[in-house]
Amino acid sequence: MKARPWKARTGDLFLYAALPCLLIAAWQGLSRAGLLNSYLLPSPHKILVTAGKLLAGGELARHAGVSLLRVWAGFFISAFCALPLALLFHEIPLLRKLFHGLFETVRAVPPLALIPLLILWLGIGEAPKLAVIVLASFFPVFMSAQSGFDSMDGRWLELSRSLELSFPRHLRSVLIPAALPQIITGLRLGFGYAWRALLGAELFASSSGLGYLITDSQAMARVDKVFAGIIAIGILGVSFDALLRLAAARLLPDPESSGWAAHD
Amino acid sequence: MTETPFLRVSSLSKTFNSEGKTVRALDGFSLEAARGSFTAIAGASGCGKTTFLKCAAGLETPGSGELHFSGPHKTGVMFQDPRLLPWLTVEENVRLALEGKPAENFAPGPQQGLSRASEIAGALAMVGLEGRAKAYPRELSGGMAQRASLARCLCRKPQLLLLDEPLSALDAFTRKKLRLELDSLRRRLDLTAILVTHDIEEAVFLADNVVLMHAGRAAALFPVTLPVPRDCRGAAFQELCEEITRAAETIAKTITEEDTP
Repeated sequence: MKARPWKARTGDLFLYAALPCLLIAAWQGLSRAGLLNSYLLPSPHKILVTAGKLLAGGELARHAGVSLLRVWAGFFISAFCALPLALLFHEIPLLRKLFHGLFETVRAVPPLALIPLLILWLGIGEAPKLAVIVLASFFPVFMSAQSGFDSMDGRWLELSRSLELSFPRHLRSVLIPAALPQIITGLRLGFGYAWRALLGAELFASSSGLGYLITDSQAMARVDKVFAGIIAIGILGVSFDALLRLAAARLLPDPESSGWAAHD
Repeated sequence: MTETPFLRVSSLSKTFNSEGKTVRALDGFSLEAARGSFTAIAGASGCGKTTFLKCAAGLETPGSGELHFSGPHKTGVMFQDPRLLPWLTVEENVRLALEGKPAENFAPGPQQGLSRASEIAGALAMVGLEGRAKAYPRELSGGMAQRASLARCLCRKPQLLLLDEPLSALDAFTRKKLRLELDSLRRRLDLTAILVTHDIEEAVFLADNVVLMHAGRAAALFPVTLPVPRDCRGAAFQELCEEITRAAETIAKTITEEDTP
């Protein structure tokens, strides 16, 4: 992919930032004019000061670190299970049929609905939190990878057979690269879902993490701290998605495309 | 004494199910190809020529009939499209041909001792792509991509070259140029080749025998005895092309009339 000119990228960034900046400015203006309830909606300035204090005191970093560890651990477990399973289901259609009903049912259940059961089964430690994150991120990764494998151009399979490639070689040189655009999309989606499930996972029986920071601050009537936690979740989520996009750009010639363009 | 043919195809049949209907792609197709010969199978779209080629390449299993090879028969297939993997460079695409399973009883050639890198470089040089080894398929023209596909094919060191209309998607100028190169390479490497095409001129230019195929059967055989390199504008060449075209039209007409109740 050709790099876009610097000016065009700066222009885009300006457009992305314009609306949030405008809203924050209006919010600050209304707060200063006393038109907003400072208890329910503290001013952006107050939130910024609180966030600064949380950051300086190390509280925000500690909670963010715990949350990140949980999200990445859960996300890696998901990817580690989902990708080989998607390949196995692609190669063995009987297995896919056998598991279809079970997977579709589990997929339809929101992971948060399983929290009471998970606490009963796994206790109140890290395990139920990880389980929620895994359940939230498994299906996007699994389904995208499966769809990537399934939608591989049949001509490439024919080529692989005509060259008499062994299965491991076919996998490494043909099947996985062919499905890579969709695998990467699935990983990005999965990470997004994992991140969003974090708050739910940390709502129950937790003593650390950004989700805990938010619920604890709400209980202490510190709406400014609630906002600081929410903003931290948003910023970290966007940053990691950008990192995944960057990784995708290095792996694919055109990460925006849904597939590879064959030379016809 | 007659020489045992390199490939003997006897009464090959193959049917497909398409939308609840049974389509007979091959209907008792038979053919013989001598070692080192070039056979062109010409016919209209849907006559079964690509199905036969896929059966010969082991990509389809015939319903009945037999394909008999008189010796080792590693095949190299050149498809209608170059079929280069877009995530690999030209060099890596060609290297893939060396990753396949080696043929049983394959008699190694003089290049046996060469490293893989020099084998790839040699194959690319043979098709005039030495400077494009690191290029990606999207950076190649149609003709270059088809040359890379030919290099991949040759890198397998096949005894049988199977060509599925490899020049049909190219512009007329590139097609003529590649046709010449293909002819010269095939003769130089003494390969047995089977080409399927709907282009009679291409068939007569390249082949020793032209088989006319219709409705899954070999309908007529035309030996081509013109001297090489062949002159497409020569009177004898044009005459043979016209003769084959007329025969194809007559066969199509006769079979259609026979099939009409």
